[in-house]
Amino acid sequence: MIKQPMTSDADFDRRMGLASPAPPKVRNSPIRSDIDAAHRQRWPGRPCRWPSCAWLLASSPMLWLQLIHRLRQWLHGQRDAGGGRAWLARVGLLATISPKWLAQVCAKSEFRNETDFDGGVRFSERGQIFFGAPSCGAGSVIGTRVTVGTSHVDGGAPRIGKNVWIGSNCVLYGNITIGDGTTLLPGTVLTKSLPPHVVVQGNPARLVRGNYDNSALRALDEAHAMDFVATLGSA
Amino acid sequence: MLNNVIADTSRFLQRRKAKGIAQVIYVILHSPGLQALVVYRYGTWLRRLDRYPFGAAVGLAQWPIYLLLAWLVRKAYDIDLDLSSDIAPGLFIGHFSGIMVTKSRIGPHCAIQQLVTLVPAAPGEPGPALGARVWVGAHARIQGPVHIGAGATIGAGALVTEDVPEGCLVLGNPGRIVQRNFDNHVFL
Repeated sequence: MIKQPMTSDADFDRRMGLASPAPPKVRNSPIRSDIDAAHRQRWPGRPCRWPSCAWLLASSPMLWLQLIHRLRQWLHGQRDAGGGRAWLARVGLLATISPKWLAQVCAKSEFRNETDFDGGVRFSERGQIFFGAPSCGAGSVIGTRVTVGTSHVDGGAPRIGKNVWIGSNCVLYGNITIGDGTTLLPGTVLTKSLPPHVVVQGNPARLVRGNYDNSALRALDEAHAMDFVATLGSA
Repeated sequence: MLNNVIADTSRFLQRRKAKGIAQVIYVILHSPGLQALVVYRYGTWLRRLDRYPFGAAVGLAQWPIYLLLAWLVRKAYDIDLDLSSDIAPGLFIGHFSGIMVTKSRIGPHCAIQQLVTLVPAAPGEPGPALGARVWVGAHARIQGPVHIGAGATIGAGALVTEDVPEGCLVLGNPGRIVQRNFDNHVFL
């Protein structure tokens, strides 16, 4: 009997769907990164092809809100830059007021005008996110029911670093800085700056663990992340 | 009802610093809190109509309109101002989503943010009673028959289950009085 050559283990794993998903591609455009992040959140293993991307764009109000926010930021830039096209930017800004309103109502979320976030920040599809951070680094994950607000006392809003994982039901406010790679467990109320790679929990926020690498946590979708963080809490 | 609606609207316009008719229209169209409050005022007005002759019939005929508007506000904005509560004029609702006010009393010139719940602790009991000029931060939860004194400030994320004296600042879960004589007029 002729012995068939053994296929390599990698081939077998890929065909059986056992291989770990390919690392996310680095995309230059923030819009492509946003769509990638939302796609990975909705369908963790699937590659981002145009039919599923089109479906995602049609069915995710949070993604509409992000993209309209980016569009309006670009239009603000064009209007402030002046020149011959500034009037067109003004018309564009007027025209996008209602789509922005519709996206806000559908997603139950708001982005402040001054908010800025890098491409690839992942916002929970359940919405109810009130995001006012003047900067947010790539790779961060923002859960549902999160408020990142301004303080009425000093008027500042938190600056969020890269790869931050913010659980659901969190409130952050004040002129603070969240270091890279931090993890805010669900239900945290935070008013003080954080160094990188710590884990905090509670109201008021207390340090749970230092020097924690949250890349495994950031790769999980919301349902699995809830089980995962149960192991991180101080209990 | 009209006086209350005018008081609510002028509070919103003053907070949003609207000048000129275009900005006023923009604020009215884009304030879910104001729209929810107007629907609430309409509902309470309909309930009070029975003191007039034929008022009960007129109120009953318009009741489906109120029910539809209240449902729309709950679905679209996720603001639930139950008619069992008693809201004095001049309430400011900062953002929308997650607001639930059931069987509570709210004093004049208060302010409420997103994801705030003012609910009774158990089904038969009354809910909280807020004094005048109380600022309730985002994600706060005030439950039970508590009395919040005038000028108090409930910080973001606080859980309040006990009475709060006037002018205090309450933070944390469970809510603790962090500062007495806290001036919250910049918040309002």
